[in-house]
Amino acid sequence: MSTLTETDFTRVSTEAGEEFIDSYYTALNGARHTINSFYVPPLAGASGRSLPHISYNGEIINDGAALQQRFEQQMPWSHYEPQSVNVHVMNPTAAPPAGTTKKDAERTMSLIVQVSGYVRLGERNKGPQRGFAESFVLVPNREEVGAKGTGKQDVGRKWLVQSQNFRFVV
Amino acid sequence: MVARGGGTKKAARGPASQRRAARKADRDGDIGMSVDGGVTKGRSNRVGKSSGIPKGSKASGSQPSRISASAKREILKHTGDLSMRDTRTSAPKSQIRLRITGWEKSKAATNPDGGVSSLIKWLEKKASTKLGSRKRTVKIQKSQVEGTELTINVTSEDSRALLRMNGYEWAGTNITIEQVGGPVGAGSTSTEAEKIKAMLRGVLERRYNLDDKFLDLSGLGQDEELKAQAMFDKKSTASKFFPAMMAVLENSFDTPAEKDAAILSVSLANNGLVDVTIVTSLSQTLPKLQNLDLSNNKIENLSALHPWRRRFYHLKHLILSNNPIEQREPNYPAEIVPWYPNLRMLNNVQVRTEEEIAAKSKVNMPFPIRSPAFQDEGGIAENFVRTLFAGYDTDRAALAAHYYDAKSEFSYALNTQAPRDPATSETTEKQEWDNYIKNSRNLKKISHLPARQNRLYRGTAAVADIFSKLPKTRHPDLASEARKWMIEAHIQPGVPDANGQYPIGVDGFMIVIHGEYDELDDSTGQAKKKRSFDRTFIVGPGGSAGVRVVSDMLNVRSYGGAQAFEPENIEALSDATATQNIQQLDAPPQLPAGVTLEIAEQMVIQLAKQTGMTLEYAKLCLEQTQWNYEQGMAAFESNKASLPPTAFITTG
Repeated sequence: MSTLTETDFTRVSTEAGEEFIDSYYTALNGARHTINSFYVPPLAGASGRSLPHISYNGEIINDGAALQQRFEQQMPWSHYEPQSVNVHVMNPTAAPPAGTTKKDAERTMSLIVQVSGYVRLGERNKGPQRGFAESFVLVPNREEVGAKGTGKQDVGRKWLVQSQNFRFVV
Repeated sequence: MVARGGGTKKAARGPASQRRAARKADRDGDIGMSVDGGVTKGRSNRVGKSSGIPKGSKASGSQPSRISASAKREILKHTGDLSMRDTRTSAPKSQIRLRITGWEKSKAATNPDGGVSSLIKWLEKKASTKLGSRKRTVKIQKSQVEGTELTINVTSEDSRALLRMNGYEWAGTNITIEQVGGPVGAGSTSTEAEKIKAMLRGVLERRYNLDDKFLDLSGLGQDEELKAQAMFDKKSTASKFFPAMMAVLENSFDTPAEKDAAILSVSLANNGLVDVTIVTSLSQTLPKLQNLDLSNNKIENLSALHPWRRRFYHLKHLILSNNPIEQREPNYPAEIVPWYPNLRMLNNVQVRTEEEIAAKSKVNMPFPIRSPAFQDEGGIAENFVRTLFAGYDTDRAALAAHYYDAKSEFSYALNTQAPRDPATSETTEKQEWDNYIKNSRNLKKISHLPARQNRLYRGTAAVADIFSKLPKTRHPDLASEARKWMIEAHIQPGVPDANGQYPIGVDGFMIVIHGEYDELDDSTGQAKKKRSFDRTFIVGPGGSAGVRVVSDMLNVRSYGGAQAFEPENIEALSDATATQNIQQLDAPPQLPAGVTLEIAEQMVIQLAKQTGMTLEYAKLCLEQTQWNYEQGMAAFESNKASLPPTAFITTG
């Protein structure tokens, strides 16, 4: 069966989640032109099954590019600060085909990331501050999920957002 | 969900006018205390320097929470002390006769009755209390004059208040009040601390204006009664005096809500304050203060006010005129206005309009707050949420057995630094998070791989075990307190298949819930702390319940309130017609069990979106299929052709 141990799953999932959180919020704060690159390509589906599923304060957006555009054109200065992060494996996809290398096996699982933090809006230090909570489902950047994959050189993002739920909570 | 918010806000009265009125009332009501002319002239009117309190006194400390606690201890450490609130309840309701002498030489002696009627009026007014949760009106039932003796009959309750006034000054003369016969009154048996409490209580009472909800603590250094107690003569008493007074004030009220409602304005004018160190406890005792007067002090710069930065969230009007800061830091208004997000007036000058306040509180963000996006199928997610929280509050072991199988995973993370509800000023206690911290899996704090692994719980038994270690909870009712919840769900592909038939997974739900709970005391079951939480579930098909938890992540944080869940007015948005029409749904439709109004709304909106029907027709359609979404959809498909054109939203 799986070539990965329990420890491998914890290591891969938590490290991937942390790396994702770091680069994702950095992008929201200062590299908004890259936002789209965090999402799986749009995939239309029947009633409410379109992907990516992005729910932002109750508004459903099914396209990373649309979200990026919103951030680039309308979002005021922001600083997102994740204060608490937790990651689980959603689907370990336990049976990689025979002959799969360990490195490939590490990229067959999907992850759930939960974040709690605050966002400062408008201006540094003085802008209003809101508490937020956010959850993601991340899938490996592979052709199987409809993405381009990381190619032979293994470049680009290794994990992409398939589902996202954002809410102001304070 | 929709016709919410927009409650009318009453315009606040100008604090300046309140203050004027208050001062006037104080003069009228307080003949005794206002006749202080010549006596205080020689003294400077300072609490600060003249009373020997060093600048930035260490004694009072700069950490507010400690002051208040220590002050209270100071006051209450004398065991055997009756607290302020106890003294009255235990007394029997018998009549007591009091003899009052020394009044015949008063300024009112020339009145036809020798001033007796005005003396009685003054005694009644003075002994009555208007400040605190146990307001009381003293009534002198019978009075009799024999020569220079006035004898009055009062209840024993009232007699205590009157005996406490023994030696008070009335109309230019000191009067003597003593009990006729019987045991000596309660006043003489009280301890020193109790006397001080009573005295401070009297000072607060005298300086409180009920109509304006105004507490005038200006010119405390001039206060005859406080001077008589030599309150400012020693460093030790001077630094404790203000916190002690705040403690007495707090004890006068049963609940913080009563206290906050009773006092909206405070003046600390004319107190020679160089900074707010000595009076900093005001911000703990009255965190919801709206008007604050600090005029005529010796405040030189903003750093002197720093302890009150980020305090007084509700402050609407601040007065700092006649302080050296006006010359030293003439641009201070630009700095200080952002400290108080609700400030409208600074020194009687408008600094923000109501519109600006309203606009600011709504964050200018391209993602306005909308009602929950709850995508369900056949009430699966709805039922899950209902069962889960009922079970979590009452029987976690049974809950674990019901929804969590051998592969279900649970862990929780603690965010101790999360923003708190700006409307409450709940204080943090020591070891506040002890019950959570040991197993928290906040990856920001837990970096070692073994710890990360140990704090992830898999399988029914492990989940039940960690559930049992978490504090007992009571969540708000999902139906009657729906506004305290934010529950969203959507279909999540790729959820592991319990039977292992589909390695790439099956469709499940991602359910994200934000809300609050009362943390219950283990032994008494009493609510002791409010927390907020975020909880993310992945659920999939399978198990005996038909639904199994794949993954359950809990985030616990300080209480953050529910105001962030209130949908904003989204009329300006493209679906203005939708919001308008939802309001027609407000008359609650007949819903089957398990479908809340919110879910019904979501179903209507969803169906309308998918079919292009108007909300009214979508609603009709769902009503006819007993709120089964799929049947509603099927009904639409089969009747599409026969529907009138008005059933559809016209574009353009």
